[in-house]
Amino acid sequence: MAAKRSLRGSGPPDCAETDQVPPGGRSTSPATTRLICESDAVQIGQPFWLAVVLEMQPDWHCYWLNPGHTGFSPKLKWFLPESFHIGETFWPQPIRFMAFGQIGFGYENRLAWLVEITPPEVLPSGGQIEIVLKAEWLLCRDVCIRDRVTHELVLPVSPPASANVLSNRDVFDRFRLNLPQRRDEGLAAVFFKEGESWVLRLQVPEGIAVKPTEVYFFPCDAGWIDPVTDQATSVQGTTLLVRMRGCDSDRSAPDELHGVLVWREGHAGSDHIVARRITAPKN
Amino acid sequence: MSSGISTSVTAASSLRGSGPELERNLPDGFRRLQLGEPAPDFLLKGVDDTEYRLADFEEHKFLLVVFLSNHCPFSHAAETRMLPWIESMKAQGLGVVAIQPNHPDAITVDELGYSKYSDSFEEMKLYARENGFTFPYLYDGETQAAAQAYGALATPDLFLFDEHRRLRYSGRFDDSRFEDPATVTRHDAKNALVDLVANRSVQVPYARPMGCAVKWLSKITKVSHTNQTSWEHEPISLAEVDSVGVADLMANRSHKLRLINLWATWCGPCVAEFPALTTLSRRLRKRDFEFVSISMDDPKDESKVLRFLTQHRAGMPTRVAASLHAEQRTTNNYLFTEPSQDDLAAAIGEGWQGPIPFTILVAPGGRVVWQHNGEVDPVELGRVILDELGGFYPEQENEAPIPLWLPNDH
Repeated sequence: MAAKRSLRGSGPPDCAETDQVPPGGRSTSPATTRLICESDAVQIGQPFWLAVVLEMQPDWHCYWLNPGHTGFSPKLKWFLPESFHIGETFWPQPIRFMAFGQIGFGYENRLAWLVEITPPEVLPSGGQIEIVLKAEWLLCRDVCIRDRVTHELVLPVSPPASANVLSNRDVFDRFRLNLPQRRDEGLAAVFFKEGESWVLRLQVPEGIAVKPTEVYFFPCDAGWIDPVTDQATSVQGTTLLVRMRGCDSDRSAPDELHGVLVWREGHAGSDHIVARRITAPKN
Repeated sequence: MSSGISTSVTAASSLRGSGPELERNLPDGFRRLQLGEPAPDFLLKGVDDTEYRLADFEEHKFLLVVFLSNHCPFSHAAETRMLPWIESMKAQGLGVVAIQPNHPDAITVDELGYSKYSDSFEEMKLYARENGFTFPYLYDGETQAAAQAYGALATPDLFLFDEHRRLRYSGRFDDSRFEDPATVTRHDAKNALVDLVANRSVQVPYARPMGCAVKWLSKITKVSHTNQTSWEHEPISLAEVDSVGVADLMANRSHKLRLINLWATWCGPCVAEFPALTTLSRRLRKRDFEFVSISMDDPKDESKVLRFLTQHRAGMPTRVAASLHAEQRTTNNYLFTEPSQDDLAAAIGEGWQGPIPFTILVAPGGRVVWQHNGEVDPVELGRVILDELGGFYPEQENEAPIPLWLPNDH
């Protein structure tokens, strides 16, 4: 295990990386990870952001919340000081890929999970806190490696009145660009059963032209929507319908459909991919 | 010149009435070519993509029409002696044409345990090339017209004709089904040709064919059903294993060649290759071979693992089940239970670097024959296994005697 570096006044905080050695003990991981903080220090009562950055060698991939046909979802387990609160983990927009003849949802190259930490209102200044992350993910190429890492991040605690220096602000802003927008308000998204299909219906905001051939819904729950069968999308006026085939399982449908809807919107010459987090109640 | 047809041996009958089981498995109207009868013509495609008929061999004084097949261990054993003999007898005027009478769809999967090739025409080309055939090798599987015209019963089955193309000898090459020439006590075909060359009566004009029964086209439906259902009723089970148990598996104190595969339901390449491994296992179910799967799934996902094994019919043949009992094991499907894989890596050995799928072939006594990280190439793996097991019947003292005539199985 690499020695932990001192972080007092040493610039943007970063974690001490432990050796990433997959189970089995011998081979080197095809990925490197870092745990970084947006701000240089913890300020009492001020939330701050952490990023878990995973960089994979070419041709390797890892998986999203719902891995698709095979794979498993990464697991992030945090160990925080007492009274610190951790918010939800923000996952970057996934991609759909074909590997080993199977459809997977996940990532290639580099990704960063973001999480917001809220410290307590009372905290002795001048000290430091330690945050530990134990993470596990599956990295695959022609083989699969179940990678486990432990990161420790030590952050100084600065007085309440001091300026909050965000040395990693630019880096985090770039990470945020890869997150699905939390803009499903006004979409009036619902889902319902129609024959053998599950249908996601939503209202396309006015002024937005959606290309039906470039729409895909990534369901968060695995084992319920079949990732292999192509989704059928149609636009009727301002109503977008995404038809998906269910898996052959005994699972009953949840009351809410959670996922990420990706579409290309705009006009020729100025269109772009947009990803939205969707929460659709059952109709 | 004498007719060369011995009268001291009763000409073989049509073979109907040789036994109810044999009769039931022969095509309607089946009749074996009789001594003295002329060679039936044929028009068949050879592995050189050329069509051949009987007249194409008229330049040869004597003609051997021999029915062979890619998959049959009897054929393999006979060929080891027959091929050099053929070469040596060409100078004596011997011409040879080999005919493969089987349709590949009429062969059950577990009849393919002695060869990497089935009996398709394309595989005949590979087989002929690898084994150095210096004579035409013709495919009769689509209609089996030649097989029926000659009354071929098995592979190998020989028909030796004189210069007038009259049948002078038919039956086996010699009396051994093993590879070792020291196991031969009667050189039937050789002796027949010696008699022919010397222009005398063939002393023994018929020696019962010994080999794999011809796979008649009528068998296709039954074979298709068998291939689909024969392992559907095999029990599928799963047991936990720790690193000590894996070390024991690696020690392989059985008499079987053991293929061990580390996999998981969440591993894409593992899932992709698994059907090929179960197919290989079915192919080798009559050999001293077993497939052992070790899942790296979380123990709490036991039901998911069992569901996957059931979906892929990773069951246990009766032959393997009996041998497991001797080892005090109950299954060949395992779920690894320890949280750390360090001890597992030590048990597997230096060849495993940690990623899966990982496949290792262990001979009896623990010798590692082959190992591979990543999705296996089933053709290469099949070749490695056959190199280790051999393409012939093993000579084992405790092996159950096999009847000389095998109506439909071997």
